[in-house]
Amino acid sequence: MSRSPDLDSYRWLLWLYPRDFRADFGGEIALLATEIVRDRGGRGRLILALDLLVAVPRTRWEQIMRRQPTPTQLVITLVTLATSVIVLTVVLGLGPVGAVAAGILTALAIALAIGQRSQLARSLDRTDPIRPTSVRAVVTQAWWAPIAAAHGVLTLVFAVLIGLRTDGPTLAGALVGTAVTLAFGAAVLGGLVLRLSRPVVGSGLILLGTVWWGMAFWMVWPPLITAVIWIGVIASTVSSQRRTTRTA
Amino acid sequence: MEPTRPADLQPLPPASLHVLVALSGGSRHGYAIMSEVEELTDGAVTMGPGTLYGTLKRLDRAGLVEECDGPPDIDPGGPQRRYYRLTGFGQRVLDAETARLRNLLRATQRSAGHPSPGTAS
Repeated sequence: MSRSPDLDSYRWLLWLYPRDFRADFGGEIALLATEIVRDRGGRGRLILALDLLVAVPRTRWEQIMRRQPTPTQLVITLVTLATSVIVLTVVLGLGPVGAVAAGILTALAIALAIGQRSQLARSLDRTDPIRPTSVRAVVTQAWWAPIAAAHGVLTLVFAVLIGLRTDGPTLAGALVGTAVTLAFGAAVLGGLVLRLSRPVVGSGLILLGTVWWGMAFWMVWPPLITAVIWIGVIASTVSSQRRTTRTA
Repeated sequence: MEPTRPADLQPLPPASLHVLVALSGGSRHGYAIMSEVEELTDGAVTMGPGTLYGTLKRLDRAGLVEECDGPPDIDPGGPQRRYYRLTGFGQRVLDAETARLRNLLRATQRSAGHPSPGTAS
């Protein structure tokens, strides 16, 4: 195998890959890199550089998504995250009730993400850039989908136009409130798109994204619309899961 | 639960499809797979080592490819290489994906007003 400074550097960069991937394929990757540079010269070096940029984050991400935490690790992670969010929001002036709510919601979001990790990983595996999803298919997938889509868009509009002025007594508090509201709107719209290929993950995101307005019990319309969306999402998901089970 | 039907894995990501097509001609090592993909796509797709072995690992985990012995006439003095081949399930998934793409192409040609392959114009 030829030795050159750039290939030596490349071999060092293989340490960026996860340990088990490196143990499995490190030798093969180094051999292939040598052959690519030998046969393709400068273009080969460009291929190796671009490949590192894409493959390292992807391999790392897959490793994270597949790792199974123990219950103790899970509890410690959730408690730490929730406490951090509560402390941060109190410091930023959101008030104790808002801070506790933000902490609980963060813990719930992380728990849901961890619970659905393997499905999220499979969604990633199945990402197909040549298959765009049409807006019409997203909005007409179920009777409640137009309501949820309008809810998501209005949440984004609310966050941008009104949130910054009303969400907190300080600028930092307003920024946190606006960011959280944007995240909930994005969760509803993202859930609607994802639901076409991954019903359970998509439905989970929609439920999570609408829970914020459902807690606004001092108003009439937001909790009512949230209840309608929840009933629709849960009924559709349960019936589609039953159909899948029967077909299988 | 690992998928047991080809439909569970469809549509295949482009990198996986390219590797399966390259292996449909027989067992190959990493560099041969990469060169085959480049040739099949007229140089439009070049898979780097990390992408290639990441894809092979995913396909191996899903039961679509497996490691195998190299050809008997292999140079004993050459570098040690790992060879891969399609499994029976991998071949079924490739067939199903090819049929899906063929149907898609036919539908596109129909909607664009072109005759389908094999139909009289």
